[in-house]
Amino acid sequence: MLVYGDGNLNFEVLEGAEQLDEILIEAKKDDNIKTAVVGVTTIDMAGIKNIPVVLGERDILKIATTMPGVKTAGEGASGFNVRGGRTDQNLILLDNAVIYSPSHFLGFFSALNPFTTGSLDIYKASIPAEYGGRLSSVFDIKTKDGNLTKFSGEGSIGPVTANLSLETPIVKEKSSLILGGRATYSGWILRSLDDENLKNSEASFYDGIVKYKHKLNINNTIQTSIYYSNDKFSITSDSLYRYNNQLASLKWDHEFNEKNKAEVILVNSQYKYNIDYEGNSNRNFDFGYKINETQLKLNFDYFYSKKHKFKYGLSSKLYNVNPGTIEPSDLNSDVEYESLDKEKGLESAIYIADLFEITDRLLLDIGLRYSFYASLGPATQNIYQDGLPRNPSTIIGQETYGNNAVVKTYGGPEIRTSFRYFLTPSFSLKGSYNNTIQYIHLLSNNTTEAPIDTWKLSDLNTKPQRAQQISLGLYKNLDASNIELSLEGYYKKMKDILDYKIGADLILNENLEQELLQGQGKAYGIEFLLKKKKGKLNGWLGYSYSRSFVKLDSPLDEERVNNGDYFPANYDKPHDFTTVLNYKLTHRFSFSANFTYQTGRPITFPIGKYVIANEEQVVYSDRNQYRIPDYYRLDLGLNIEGNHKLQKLAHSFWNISVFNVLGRNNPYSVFFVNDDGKIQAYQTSIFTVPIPTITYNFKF
Amino acid sequence: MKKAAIFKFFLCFIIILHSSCREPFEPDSIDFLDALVVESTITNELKKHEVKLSRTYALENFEPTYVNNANVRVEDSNNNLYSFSLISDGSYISDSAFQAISGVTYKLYITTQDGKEYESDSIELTPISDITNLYTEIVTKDNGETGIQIMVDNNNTNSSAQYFRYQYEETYKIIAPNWNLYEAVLTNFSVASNGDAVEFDSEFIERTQEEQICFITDKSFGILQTSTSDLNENSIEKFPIKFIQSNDGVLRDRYSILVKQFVQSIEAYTYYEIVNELGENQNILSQTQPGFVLGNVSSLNDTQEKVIGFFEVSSVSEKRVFFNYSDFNFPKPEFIFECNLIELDYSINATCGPCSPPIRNERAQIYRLLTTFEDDNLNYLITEIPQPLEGIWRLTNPECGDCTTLGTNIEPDFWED
Repeated sequence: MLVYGDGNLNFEVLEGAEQLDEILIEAKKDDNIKTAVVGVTTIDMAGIKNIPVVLGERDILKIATTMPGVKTAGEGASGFNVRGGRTDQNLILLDNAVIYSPSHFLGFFSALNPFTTGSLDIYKASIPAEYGGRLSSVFDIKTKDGNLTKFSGEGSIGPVTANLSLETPIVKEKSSLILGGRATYSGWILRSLDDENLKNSEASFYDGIVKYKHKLNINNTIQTSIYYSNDKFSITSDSLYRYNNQLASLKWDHEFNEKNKAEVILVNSQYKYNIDYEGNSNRNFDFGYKINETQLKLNFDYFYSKKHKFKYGLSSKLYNVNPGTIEPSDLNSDVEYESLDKEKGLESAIYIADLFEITDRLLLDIGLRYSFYASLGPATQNIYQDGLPRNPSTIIGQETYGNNAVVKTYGGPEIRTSFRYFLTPSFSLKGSYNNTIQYIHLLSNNTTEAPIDTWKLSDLNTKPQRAQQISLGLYKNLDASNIELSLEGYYKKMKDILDYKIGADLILNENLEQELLQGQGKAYGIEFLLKKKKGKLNGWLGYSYSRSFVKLDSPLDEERVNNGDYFPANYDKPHDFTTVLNYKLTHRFSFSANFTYQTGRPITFPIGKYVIANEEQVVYSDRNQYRIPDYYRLDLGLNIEGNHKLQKLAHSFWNISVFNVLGRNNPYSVFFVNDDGKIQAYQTSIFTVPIPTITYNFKF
Repeated sequence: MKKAAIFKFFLCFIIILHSSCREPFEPDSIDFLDALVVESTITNELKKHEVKLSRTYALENFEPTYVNNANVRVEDSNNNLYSFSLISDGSYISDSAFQAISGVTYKLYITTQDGKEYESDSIELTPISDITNLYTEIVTKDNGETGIQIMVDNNNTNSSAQYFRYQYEETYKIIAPNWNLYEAVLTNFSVASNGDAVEFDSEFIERTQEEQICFITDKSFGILQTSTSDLNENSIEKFPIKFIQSNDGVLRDRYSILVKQFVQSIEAYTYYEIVNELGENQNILSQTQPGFVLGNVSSLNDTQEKVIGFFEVSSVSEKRVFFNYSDFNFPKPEFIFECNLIELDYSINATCGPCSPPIRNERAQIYRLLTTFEDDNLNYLITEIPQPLEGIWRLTNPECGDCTTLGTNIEPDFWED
């Protein structure tokens, strides 16, 4: 009813009753074909209950790696390679705060509590303009909202971990609290073993999260999350490694009017690790690394019209890095205290995006972001002679900067644009062009990401990484959107991605730039995904063919790798096939299976020996000329729901799964050892036998 | 089963951290790289310089193949040409003595037998900086081992000399502990039909050469480098060259070490540093990125051909030091070779029947041990003339009775007792 002016209108309403059919409201049902976003994957935690798991852990990030375009270097490797990008190129957000090390046990388990995690959106191609700072992807993980009406909880007991989450309203229908905690009893298992070596080793973790959401009134909502995770493990009996993540976020949603909304986000994240070395000698030390960032972000939504929906905002992030401090851990230690200069940087951005619906068929998402980075003092930076390799003899000077003095600035526009065109109502074509800038780099001597890798900010001698990507995709929905089909292709170019000179030393190195190379990368691929969302049989099937190359060229021999040509990146795995299937036998029993096949990753092999300085040395092939054997694995699972009696303490279900049913000996790494003059290759594997697991889950 | 599998997981997890949960793995088809390996350092010493040429060898092999019959020459920027000639497998020595001079560049040319040509970059002599002091200190290592640390100081005043590589040559005297002036020679032997009993006459003749006191020289092994580039002071202090455990047999009879210091260019230093680093053992958390290390010698015929090695022109400085174990109040170390003393019975009673206790006659064994020695198949020798001859003979391994089996009996010119 529209009222155009003052006046009176009297009318009567008659009472009548009508039985309505059941109404199902499905959110985002056709999102995959409707939105203009290319290369987005959404994983809903509720939908992955039946997937077979290893050691009883339902792991949303592991599920993410079953999607085409998201890969890991291998079992037990943390970090993801998204569309041929390095592991440091993913912005992993938990309730808007960056989580630097989202895994436990060096990557065997994700650091996210499956019961409190609501959903995960992965942006692989068109990254919304509001996000920035990483080249390849955004993993946006959202914690569930607590139950507003009644106290409830969920828990699980597995062979390695126990997990409990609780939800409770604080003010009914207005505010709620959800909290989750997880811990492992592996420390207890290890101590109970007979083996002396294992008895003294340490491997344990825990994490906890609290989220509080309060709807103040119809126009204002605030929510806050606090997360903490901690890992402790020993690699040798004399060293203890500890790392932890600490996040705090605060978000205030405000609605000015029907057309204008705002979000104010304040977050702080910290990641740090420690190595405590305690041998029997005078070399005991304590080594520490820490990165801390605080970000303030303002997002505005402006629904200008049906045709134009604007989003705009700004953000600023302050980084503080302590790149390494070593100190003697006892009085007898001869280790000298050393602390590298702290690094400081300010990364800011403004953005605007317009969701422009040109016709019913054509939708444009035009985004522009401008990011700006300033490396800040106090700092001392080496100045090198141009055109010469960076080494101690080419330093021509040193510049010292005072507190908050600007050392160097970088910046640039980032275009985030994409379109959707409906070919038919259930068949769409989408495309996107994106460019991204990343001002922070991960230093890692390993091919796989490890928790003792360190993050470094761009500075006078280290440039930011930059990338551009074009993607094109076809999306088709069948059977009333129950079946989704997609085919996407992409081409990505990167520059100034970080690599290292041969034999680089990265820890406690005050002239780190002398070990670094910045090269180019290119990646391309096609990804196919078939997803069936409902029915007795559901699941998905993904395949991707993708390549990723790096080029390290320079006029200087020392800084050239593989003759300055493109070579496969460490994580270049061309074929990747994954399928995850669930079959619902009855209401109580369901089977699930998942199968993965991947090309083995590239590796540098020794290809001969020679003698120099009276000593035998090994000559290595060109970098990444060979590959380790292919990877494949089959997991099976059985879910048994508890009885369906109405009166019972808790709803429960059992999950029985067998990981690596085929007992495939997938190599985790390959290395070479000189056994009495003969060079022998060895492989290490993690799961060489099928691992059965029983987990008990309950809900109340 | 389930428990076992989970334990196995933990076992593997922890063991992976300890990096030993491993099994051999045969990579399919590795293309062996057959490449020329060049090793040469021309110095500012006036001497005949050496160029070593070899080729890479397969991973399962133990010995390099040497490159012989190559044409090797060094040319300087004053158009002086120094030709080299093969003197032993893969080793070429300049026909005349020469020394590198600062301000002149040198270039190595190689033409192999199959006509392939190689050349190095043009290299200039590195700055000169001498070893100030070569000395020893008693140290006790973290693992409790006590010994002698040989160290170098260099109060380097030449700020342009920042990169150093060291080589050393240890020479030590050995006195054969079971030496005997006489050798046993067996003659007129006859072997019984069953092969057990052997009859022979023995004769003892005086040795014709020095076999009691010898000298052993060992060259250093591996790459030993240091740099002053990251130090405020350009000087080297207490740089450890070699550690000798207090009970090491090399100290038993006088020991000497010659340390040579080569001043390197940054390029040469970096090359050797990377080669050395790649050769070190790595664990799973600190793998260095391996790859092909580019040297400064390249092929003229095929720019893609890989050549290994570095041609260096370095200034050199050397110092020698002598010492004895007694200078440090160490107990006398055991001989470098573990001596096996055997006592055998030469008694006439060849056969005895059911003697109790049986009478030994071990002439067959004496014969076997002493005569195979004659075939250069060094087996055993006599350590003292048995008295009486028909009694017990004492034999020992040649290493303990004849020092020429371990070293040379020629006293080096530099030797000081």
